[in-house]
Amino acid sequence: MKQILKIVKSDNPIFVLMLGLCSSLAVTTKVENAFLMGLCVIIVLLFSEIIASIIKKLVPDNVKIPVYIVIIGTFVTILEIILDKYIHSLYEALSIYLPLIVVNCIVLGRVLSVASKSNLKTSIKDSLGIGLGYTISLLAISLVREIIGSNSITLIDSLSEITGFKLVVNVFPKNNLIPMSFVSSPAGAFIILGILMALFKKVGTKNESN
Amino acid sequence: MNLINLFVTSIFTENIILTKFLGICPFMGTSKKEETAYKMGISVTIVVTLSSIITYLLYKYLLVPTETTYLKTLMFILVIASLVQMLEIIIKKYNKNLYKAFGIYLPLITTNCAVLGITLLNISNDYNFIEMLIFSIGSSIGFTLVIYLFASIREYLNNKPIPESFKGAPIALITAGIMALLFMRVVI
Amino acid sequence: MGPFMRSDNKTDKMMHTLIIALIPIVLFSEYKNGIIPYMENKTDIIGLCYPLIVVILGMLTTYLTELIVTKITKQKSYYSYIPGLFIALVLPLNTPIEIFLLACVLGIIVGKMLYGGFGNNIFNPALIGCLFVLTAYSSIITSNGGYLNSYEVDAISHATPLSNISSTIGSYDTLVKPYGNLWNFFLGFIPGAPGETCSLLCLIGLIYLVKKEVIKVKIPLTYISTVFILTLIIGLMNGLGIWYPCFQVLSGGLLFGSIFMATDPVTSPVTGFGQILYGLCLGILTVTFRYLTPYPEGVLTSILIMNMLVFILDKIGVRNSNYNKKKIISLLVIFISMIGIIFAINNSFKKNNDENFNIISKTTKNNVTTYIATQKSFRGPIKAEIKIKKNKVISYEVLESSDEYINKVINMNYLDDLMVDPNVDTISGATRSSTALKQLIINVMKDSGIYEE
Repeated sequence: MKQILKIVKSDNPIFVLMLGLCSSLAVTTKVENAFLMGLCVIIVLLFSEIIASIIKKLVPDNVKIPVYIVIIGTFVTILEIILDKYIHSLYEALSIYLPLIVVNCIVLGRVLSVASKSNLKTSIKDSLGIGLGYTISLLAISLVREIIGSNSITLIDSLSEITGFKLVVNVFPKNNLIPMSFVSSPAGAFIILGILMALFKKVGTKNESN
Repeated sequence: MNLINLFVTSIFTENIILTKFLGICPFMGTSKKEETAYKMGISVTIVVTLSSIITYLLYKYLLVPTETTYLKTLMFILVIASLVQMLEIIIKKYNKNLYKAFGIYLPLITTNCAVLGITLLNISNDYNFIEMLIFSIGSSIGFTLVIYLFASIREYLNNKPIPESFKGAPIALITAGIMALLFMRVVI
Repeated sequence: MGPFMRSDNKTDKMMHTLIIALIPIVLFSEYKNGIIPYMENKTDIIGLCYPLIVVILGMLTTYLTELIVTKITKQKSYYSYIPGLFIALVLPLNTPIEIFLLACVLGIIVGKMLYGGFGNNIFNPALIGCLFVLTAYSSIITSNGGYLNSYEVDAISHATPLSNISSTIGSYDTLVKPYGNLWNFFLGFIPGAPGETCSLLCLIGLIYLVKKEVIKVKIPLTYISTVFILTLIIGLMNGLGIWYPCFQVLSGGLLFGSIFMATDPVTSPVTGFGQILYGLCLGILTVTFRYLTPYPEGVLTSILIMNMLVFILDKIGVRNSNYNKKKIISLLVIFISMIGIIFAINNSFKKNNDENFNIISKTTKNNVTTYIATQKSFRGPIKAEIKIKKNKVISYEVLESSDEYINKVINMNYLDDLMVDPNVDTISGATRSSTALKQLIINVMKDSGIYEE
């Protein structure tokens, strides 16, 4: 557990490694989408790393990348089919960013740099740590973006297809400043990510000096 | 007139980097120098155009008739990977100078989500062949334009007294955000 | 290669001259937006002083914000009151005060301090503050009164002159008549942002700045003349006289922006040829924004877009071995794009020539273009929202109508008939309102390029 937390902090895929930014910017307009996207990435990453680490001796070096891409692609496709069937509105909301997990640099990067070199236990720990770090960062970005950009926190909306009820919290009373509409637009995504990244850097260096 | 509209929109209003967030990794990675930026841009333009045509035809005439459209993600990524590999081999064989200039950018393109993203968007937006071509070319021009513009700004930002925690990626992202705000205003 | 020269005496002199040039403009704004409405009994004592209060508050806010930030980051604070002054002069008068203050804070922090403070910023800080606020809160600002002061609301009841030109070329009666004559435009007695209306004082400011040799005079001259020539050509092609380019130059923030904002020493090119290119591109962009986009006030966006290109322009403008080659190529590119823009604009007028038809807004999201438009009909105007996706009208909804019969029309499969053949005759039993609704949908289709006669 400690090792996983350490990976979350020191190898945070978004704020430190800056990998997989595309999806983190695109799906963070709602807290719910961010959380579910994080879950999808954890699942794909976990299974891909497990498989990659099991078959690592069977794969020759020069076809490594194609083989791993096919493995990841298979899991993503399975996930796509399941989501399309059971939570269709989420499938629509994530649109092309779900299939793009295939080329999400963190997944391929971790499979190549960790799973293909280490044993099963390390791979599982690594995938959980990275996946968790990714999900937490996504949650942080989406929380800021949704509160400022639409003055709400969406906890259950697309999921209502399964749970049967919706849960959307309003944050501030009616005022002129919030919602600040452009924060939920693409431009706001860049700016909020930039500011959060700077904060993460600042907190990180402070902890190190302590 | 509609095609011109689509072209302008795909370059500015719906810029592939600034509004669809595709290709952010190379955007942050290769936009540090103007030279690498435009070379990356040209490589992406070529690969995107070729792979869009191939994947579009495969989707329409292979996956749709056989009702296996759920395989599109896997199929597209394989097409892109093998196309890039082939281009690399061909360029290496016929033009050594060209390979020296562009060789290192080609492998990076396989994992560039802009390429897979544009081919997937062509399908999900339900374009016909001409529209698909215009959209692919427009988007890659938009990609090149933005990373080149951005590289010129980042070269300038390199030795400025920016607050320590904002140096590097954060200030680049904030600048990208302002660029996105401005590009969004080019609505025709 | 910093565009900014660091001799402090010179910068001090520049900033002082700038302030002196701006003082008459502030006083005029106070006269037009404070004193006149007070004399006409349209406002109270707070309204009398309001324009001045905003200016002082803006300067104070940016000054204090920068002071706090510099305390934290241990940088030095320079001329931090100037962005606040500009924001007060550029934002609409009726911007709610908390939004105005937010513009000042964001302008200083994002536009200036994050980039390393004075002399290092890429974008003009004041315009960055305005851009954020205008993108986020434009509807709130408009519903709070927008650009009109309390006197103008009653006396003129028109929006700013430029809001009349997007997507139609207009005529003397629709563009200039509602505000009197062109002389009013020159003196500044028209609705608009507090600092931008008085062309006379902007020009006096320009002359003063040139005399003191603290301004890159090439930028405003090329900028203004590019806009003048382009709109002159567009006007002549549509049979409008010399008044038309004059109207275009005198209205909106063109003079104020080109003289005081585009020439900002930090964010404009340093090379002579770079400055000429900068002015030319600004002119083309502004004209494009005014005619082809839903944002008729294009000066702010044009200047910010060109701020990004300064480094590339300066590279073209550096005198080295292939200076002449670069010069010819860049001028050629600009010339071609000018011709292209003129034709694109001229084409856009042909699409829409129904005088009873008016597009209120046009937004595109997820491939769906939503139009809100009005059409005058027999019993008053109809207002409807039309959605278009991939060359097809997917939905339409009447928002306002004075005719009850229209609801019956909507219940029929009217849209389906129209889709089969846009030339279908007015459906049986329909009133003039349904004709108007049909005309409205056809006009929307024409505007989006689907329908051709």
